[in-house]
Amino acid sequence: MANVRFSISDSNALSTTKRCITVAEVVALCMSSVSVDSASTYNMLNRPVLEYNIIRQNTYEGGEYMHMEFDGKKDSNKRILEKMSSLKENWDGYGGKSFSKESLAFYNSLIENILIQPTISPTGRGSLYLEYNGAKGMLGFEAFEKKVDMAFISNDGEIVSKSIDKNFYEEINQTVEKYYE
Amino acid sequence: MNDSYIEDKEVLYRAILKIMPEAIEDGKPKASIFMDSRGASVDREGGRTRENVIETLRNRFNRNGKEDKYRGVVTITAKQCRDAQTLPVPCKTKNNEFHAEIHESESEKMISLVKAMKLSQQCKLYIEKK
Repeated sequence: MANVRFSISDSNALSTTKRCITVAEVVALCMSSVSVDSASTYNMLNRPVLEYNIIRQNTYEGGEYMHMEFDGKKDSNKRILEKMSSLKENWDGYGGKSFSKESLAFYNSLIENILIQPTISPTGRGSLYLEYNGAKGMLGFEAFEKKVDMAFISNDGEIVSKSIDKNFYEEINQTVEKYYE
Repeated sequence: MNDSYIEDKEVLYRAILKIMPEAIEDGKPKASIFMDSRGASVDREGGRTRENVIETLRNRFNRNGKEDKYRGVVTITAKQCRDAQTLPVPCKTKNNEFHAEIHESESEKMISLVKAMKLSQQCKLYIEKK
């Protein structure tokens, strides 16, 4: 792998999910001048994200080729959370609640740790709605400050719902993984 | 318009403001639109035309042209609310004779996640032309 400082791409392994690292990790790797090849990076960072979320960037600098990828959907979700922090009472015209620092910190940690990024939107009751729409039906989570509700409505109307009050990331990641199986 | 009961065929309207474009994704309204701690406030059609109701909502949220907040509405019939096991309740106020709310049940106002998701699957979206 001459002239490649590092690479996290694996063009032969395109599938529904793909390993990816965050921009911060890319920067950290650059700063520490760590040389790794694609295979070891791929194995080291066990983070699948949906293929369509991946943003690729190729640069050629100082005689070295760099290929970077990061999760664009996560980035966009974090921007939504940032925007939510500025919403004032009655932001939705129906008395919508503003978002506390504590709840936003929790929502940020969820987005940071969810492997397959959902679409997200704020609710008028101070919670965060997370949604996946796939071939099997609609999977939704509602995050409050200290708990997360989950509901799944299959295409034929079957409903599964539960409340999660611990191990949030693991529970959500497992449920989402199963949903996309 | 019956003040004590909303007939199945009656259409209910809930406005969406520009401040949160995330309420709509790929032309579909999100369940978050119906997630309110006091049930979802809506306006009854009450014998008016859709254009008339939309005009009223646009004026209300744009403060008669002083602001530009209004983005569109979602509509849902009372039957669709009942099919989703929610309860459409007439709640006429001094300022708005068409005001109503969608509740979780007779004893609980806040619509649960799963029922909000069902409502979002049933409702129609009318977005303001630019």
